[in-house]
Amino acid sequence: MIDGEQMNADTQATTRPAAPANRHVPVDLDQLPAAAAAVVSELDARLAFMVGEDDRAGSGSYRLAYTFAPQSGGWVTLEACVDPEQPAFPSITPLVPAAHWYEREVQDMFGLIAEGHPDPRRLVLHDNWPDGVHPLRKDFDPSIPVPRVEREPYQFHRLHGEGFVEIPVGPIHAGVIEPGHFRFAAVGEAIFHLETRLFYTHRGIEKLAEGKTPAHVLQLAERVCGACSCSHAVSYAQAIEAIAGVEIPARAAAIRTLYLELERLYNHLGDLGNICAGVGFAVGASFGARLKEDIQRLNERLIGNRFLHGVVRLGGVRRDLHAEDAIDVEQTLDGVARDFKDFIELIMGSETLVERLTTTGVLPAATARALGAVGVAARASGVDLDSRRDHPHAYYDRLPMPVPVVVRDEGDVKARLLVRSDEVLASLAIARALLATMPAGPTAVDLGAIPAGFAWGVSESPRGENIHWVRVGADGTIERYRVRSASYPNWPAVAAAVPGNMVPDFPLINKSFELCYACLDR
Amino acid sequence: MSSIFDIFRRSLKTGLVTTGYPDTEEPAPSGFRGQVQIDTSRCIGHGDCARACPSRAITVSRDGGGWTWELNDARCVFCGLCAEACPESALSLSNECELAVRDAADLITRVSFVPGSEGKAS
Repeated sequence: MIDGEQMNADTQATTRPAAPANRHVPVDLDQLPAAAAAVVSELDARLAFMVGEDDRAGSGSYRLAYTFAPQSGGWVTLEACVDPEQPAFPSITPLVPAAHWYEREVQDMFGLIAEGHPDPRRLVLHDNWPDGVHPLRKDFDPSIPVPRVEREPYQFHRLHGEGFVEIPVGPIHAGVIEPGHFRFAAVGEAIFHLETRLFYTHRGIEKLAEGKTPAHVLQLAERVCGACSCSHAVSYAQAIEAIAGVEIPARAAAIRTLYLELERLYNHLGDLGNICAGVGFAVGASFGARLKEDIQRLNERLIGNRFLHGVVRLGGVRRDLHAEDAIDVEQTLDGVARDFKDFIELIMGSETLVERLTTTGVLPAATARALGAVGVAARASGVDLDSRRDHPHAYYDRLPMPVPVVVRDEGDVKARLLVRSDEVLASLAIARALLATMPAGPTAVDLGAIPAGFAWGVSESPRGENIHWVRVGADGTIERYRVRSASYPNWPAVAAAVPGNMVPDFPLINKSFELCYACLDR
Repeated sequence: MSSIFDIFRRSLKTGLVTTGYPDTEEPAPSGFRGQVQIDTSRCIGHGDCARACPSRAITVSRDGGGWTWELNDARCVFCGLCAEACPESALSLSNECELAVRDAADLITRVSFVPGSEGKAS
């Protein structure tokens, strides 16, 4: 989140601990896998994200930056250059499995071959996209239509043997949901293998951002995801503010935090209902939808948008929280808190429902770690990780209490439900604490001209850590933008949690992760 | 453990929460960011709104001494940056949210300003 520069001391919070180290280590390309493995094992680090860049016009090469989050806090980035004459790099995936999608994406979008990658198939580009056309290269002109071609169809992994049945589902689904293809290999009702083929919703947001002003790209950032809009906007704004070397006023940080928690509330409440919908428990589904609606209407009254578009401005927030707004929040949350108790009693009081959730869709802790899972998915599988605590942003390190991080060990659908339910209570507590201790002062600061540089911002959305990596060029416009939403590392975890379950349990397992298709794809 | 009677009791207690919309009117709250409205007595044709617009929904074109302000609702993302940018506070986001039209041409609001008189919408 911090680009190596020391932030200005905040007079209101002299007790804030210094930001943990952010180390940047250039490595030779052939040393990359060994260096990555060493960072992971010696610093007890997880791969947080990886960014590819086309800097042929500047340094004359492509750049790959793998950023790890050590257990002790802070970040470690390994950066390697790739010679355009030999557009290939040694894959770290055999040693660091969490890198698998990042490397396949760089292969598709920049045309850099991930040598030694165990699964070198296309990820983002689909069958009808021509070979040799790589959209994130700087010489790719998005205004020229790309011809559609007939290529060899994508090869799914197949299981062979007597009794195996392959069940293709999607990309078009019966419900009004986003597109995604699921290929099950099953014997009778028992699923042996699930392969997901996603990336049907590519909007080219990262390419679209190039050359635009930071303020305009904020509008794009806000619309990367329909359900975690505020978190995406906060992550992006933090990146720009870090490049500008500006700390936002305490009141602005507190207001952002309040909206981040309202976002978590409306998502978690709806998602708890969706888990009920996954087993056909209509009363629970309606209950969740009603509570979600209460918060979304509050959002609309506070900020003029149900999905929290328009909370953030670069340097602060766009609208102050007035006294009557604070009363509205308090009254609405009181009502939701009252009904929520009833809601959880209803769910947990239904024996047949709870039985259905228990031991279903187990994501083992080791798998969650290996794939770099984040958010509820990680915490319900015993991985103690929450960027609100681990990479403090907004006002989270200045709350009157530590951020309550809910971790459970079971890794099943029930654990994901209970993590959400406890997080609803925690969010209600954080929101109330914010209202009680809201600092006074301005709600925004002018960033002035934004210098060239790069930084990334992190915030904890209802689905986990959202990371926005931004490089601003010498002309003050966006040169490279990489959005790593929480759904990105979590989708492979869904596929890992499904084998061993029955086909009818898949919708339930999928809903318990409740991931986005579009913000994954961008 | 809750029985079907408990569930039924809870439902009765909750009562009906569905509203009568669209049969009964339900205006969006006052701070809602809906359709952009222009106060034609204030517009000076400066064009800050068009430059602030991230989706190029607004254009301001000069012709002779006058100018034409044009809004395309199909492009608008209701961010409100135009209203913030206008030095004359000529633009505001209304709570108008029922924007469906039968003819795509109706998505465009065009206001022509000629020197010495207020703008005329077409």
